[in-house]
Amino acid sequence: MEFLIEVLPALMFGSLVLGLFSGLPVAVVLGGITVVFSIIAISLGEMRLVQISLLPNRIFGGSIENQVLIAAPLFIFMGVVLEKSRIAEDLLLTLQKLLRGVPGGLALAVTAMGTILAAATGIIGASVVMLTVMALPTMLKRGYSAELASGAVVSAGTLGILIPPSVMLVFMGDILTINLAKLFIAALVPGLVLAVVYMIYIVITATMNPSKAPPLPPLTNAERKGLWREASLSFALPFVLITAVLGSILGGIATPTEAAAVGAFGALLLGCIRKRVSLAMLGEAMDGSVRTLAMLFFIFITATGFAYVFRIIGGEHFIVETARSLDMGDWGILAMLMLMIFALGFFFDWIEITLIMLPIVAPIVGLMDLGDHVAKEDLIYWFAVLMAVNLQTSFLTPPFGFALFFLKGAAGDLVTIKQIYRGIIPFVLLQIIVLALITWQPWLVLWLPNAVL
Amino acid sequence: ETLDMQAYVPQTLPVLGTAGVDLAERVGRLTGGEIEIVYHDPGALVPTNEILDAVSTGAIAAGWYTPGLAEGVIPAAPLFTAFPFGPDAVEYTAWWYQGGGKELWAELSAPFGIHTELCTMLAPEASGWFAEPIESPDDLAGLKMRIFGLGASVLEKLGAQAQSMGVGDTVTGLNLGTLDAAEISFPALDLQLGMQEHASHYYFPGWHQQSSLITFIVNQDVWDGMDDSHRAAIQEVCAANVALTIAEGESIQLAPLAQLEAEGVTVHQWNDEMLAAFRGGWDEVLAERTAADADFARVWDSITTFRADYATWADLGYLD
Amino acid sequence: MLKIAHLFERICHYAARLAGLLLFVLTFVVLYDIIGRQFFNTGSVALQELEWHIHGAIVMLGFGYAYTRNSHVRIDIVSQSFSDRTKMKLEIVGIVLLLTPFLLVILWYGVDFAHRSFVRGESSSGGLGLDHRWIIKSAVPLSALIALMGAWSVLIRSVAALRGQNVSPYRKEPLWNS
Ligand code: NA
Ligand code: NA
Repeated sequence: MEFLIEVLPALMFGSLVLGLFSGLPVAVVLGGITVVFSIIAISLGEMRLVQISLLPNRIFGGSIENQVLIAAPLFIFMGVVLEKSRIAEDLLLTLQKLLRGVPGGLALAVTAMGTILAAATGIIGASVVMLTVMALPTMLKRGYSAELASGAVVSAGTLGILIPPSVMLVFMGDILTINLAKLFIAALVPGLVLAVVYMIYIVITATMNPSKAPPLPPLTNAERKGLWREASLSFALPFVLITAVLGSILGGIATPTEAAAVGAFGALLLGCIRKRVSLAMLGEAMDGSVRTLAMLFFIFITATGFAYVFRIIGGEHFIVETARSLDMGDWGILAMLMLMIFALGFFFDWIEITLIMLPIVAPIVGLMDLGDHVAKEDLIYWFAVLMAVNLQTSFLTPPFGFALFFLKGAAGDLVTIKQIYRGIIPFVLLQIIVLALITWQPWLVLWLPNAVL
Repeated sequence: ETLDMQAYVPQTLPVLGTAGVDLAERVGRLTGGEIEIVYHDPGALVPTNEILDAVSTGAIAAGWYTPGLAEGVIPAAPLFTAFPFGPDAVEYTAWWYQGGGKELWAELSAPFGIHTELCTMLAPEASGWFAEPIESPDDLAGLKMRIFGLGASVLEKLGAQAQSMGVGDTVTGLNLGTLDAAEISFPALDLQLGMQEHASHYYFPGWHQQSSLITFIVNQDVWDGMDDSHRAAIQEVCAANVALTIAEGESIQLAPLAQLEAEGVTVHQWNDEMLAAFRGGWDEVLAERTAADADFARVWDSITTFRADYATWADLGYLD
Repeated sequence: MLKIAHLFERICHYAARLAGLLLFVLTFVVLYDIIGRQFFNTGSVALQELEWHIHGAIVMLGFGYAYTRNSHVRIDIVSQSFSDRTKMKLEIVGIVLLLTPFLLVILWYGVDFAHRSFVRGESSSGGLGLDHRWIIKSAVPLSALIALMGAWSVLIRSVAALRGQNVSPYRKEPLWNS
């Protein structure tokens, strides 16, 4: 009995891994394991029956009564509207034409597109779905390897959570009670660095290994004609949208959360300007948004059950004890924390990780002293950005990675999950390299906010 | 025995949070480790607005709580945390322990199956952070201020727009002009949050929130099931906490205030005209609340009766 | 039995339509809040509460619809090699043994949860917000009920398909024009 209680967290964790690979919906697995382990824990006396009655409170407080999360439906709605009104598609096609001559041009266009979308949305779902639907079929048709194509799409799609505005940064700023504007600006340069690193990798891969990204024939004269006019129009509209979203925040009119509504309304308006809004199109936009949101929040409400029961049977205790028992100097602790966040990212989503880890690590970080490397008053911002870049990998790492779910959900049978898994490996490695880079060179994070604010 | 205690503030906050950590630590020592109170940061087990419900069902044994949070189900609840133009720490504790406050709260919270111990007193809050100086009541028209509770209702009466936002959106809003003002806490905490970077005019006194009561709540069945000595330990530590936190709250504010001023913050005191306006707004809100809820009226009656008697004594007994 | 599956599916469908329409409502309520606060001194507390009320309804009402359309994400790295019959059997086991117990727990305790809010007459805790908190709290058990209907409509169809009837477990009709 004692032994069973001891290993219960590990068992629960193991069941999740096995269950996820059963091919049942992720939410079904999470919810089922929640109930099964509640029953085990109750029969072992590790949990009281009444404790399970807290699940509705957690679902209500976490997913419904949450002023920050209202940005999620709005940003997803905006993304789907941009997709259905083909405004995003125009931009992508133009980018693809402009980058035609560069090795890996189609994939580069995806990364560029992801970066632009990232500046307009605060979550990842919208961009991943949009890029998948618009870019993946073309890349595959043009002979790109499924791995490179999927990797380019998910990595570009997840930039939205790092490049402001970002729901994740809002969440972290709220928990840490630090200056959110400063945190936004601090995350900007690392986000752009990441985009550039992705692009460099794509160019190198395409040059060294053209079979993965075959070069395309040069533009014909017919295609070249009017390209600049077309380019300026397809750039102008998204640019207007980004200006509206960021402008409403910086102009002191809307909070970062509320700006999502500006984005959704802006997308509808641009669709009208391009005369591409019809009742049928609006119906499709609602359909796509509702499905994506249902998928996302079904996982949220089951994951909150999983995390709760995991906590009760002592799973979190292990994490806390490890973090506290560290006696390895400030750099050692930092490395350990980063490793832990990365490892948790395989199995939990960023909300749970932020909820579990941030309150624990905030005081630890508060006591850190890295001497001249990072000024004391900047340390928490630098750490938050390190954590944000680190958490970005959690979207990509299997088995539990939201970006992968979004990609697979939108792509259907175009790519297999195995190809996606293989495809994300180089991009996760690139994220780790960038994480190391901004750890080594903190000015990449801190210079801009200190110069602007 | 382990008591999970869901808190409404993070344990890092001076006095508000640290007093809860102290409670856990001292109860553990006093009971020789037999009672282990585990402090859970906000949201860890259940979100803040659900704490009362969770303790009432027994899903969570205990809460680090302030009665005002229960306003949605007990309209009179704010009177047990702090209310505009409320009493100082001594007068408030006198009402709670001796003037019928404790009994009234026990009666109003009885349907929820909780037991309450007053466990911390907070020093007066600042009135808030303002982007521009406020000279006359006219300056309040259209003012966008982050503020909760009865103070928010008073400001709406004076033509301001109350906003309910998290701290993250609040500081961003102050920096960028989405907000004109925000009420956070007292100097020691406001300095820790770096509020001086977001606004430069700091107003006193906090007419909306003088001294406040923080409580330890526990499920009634859990409380009834505890050993007498364990209950006594919690009661003694909480009573001691009240005294200690009054001392702490009154003594830790000046150094942070000096540092805030050194960093360019202008400290203001509301002029008489402004205080009269706030009081006028409060009278209106009070009239509405006492008319709307019989319990609110009853508690208010108890407070005013006690304060009238107390004023007689204070005039007589104290030098000033 | 298929008639019941159809009825369940229709209910999920209408709930999802409501969620879809609410997306527009949410967009305009937030815009109204922003503009009103900036230019017309309209005040925000009730609006800001209304915003998360609508958000909550949007994200909770679609669970069942997404199930009937097979939109809930799965990791099919192993299962893609299974036959259709095996997949259907696995799905039935998952719905009966894993999903249904979880949703019944949410439904059972969720009804209590909303009921407590109702008998206590719970309203906003600010005094300036919205009353009748039990309505939005009911979204928790309601969403579980709708999700159950969606899952069981898939289950009934899967059983029928396994018995040789010519039905597919999942529906393809879009949210509108159907
Ligand atoms: Na973004
Ligand atoms: Na992951």
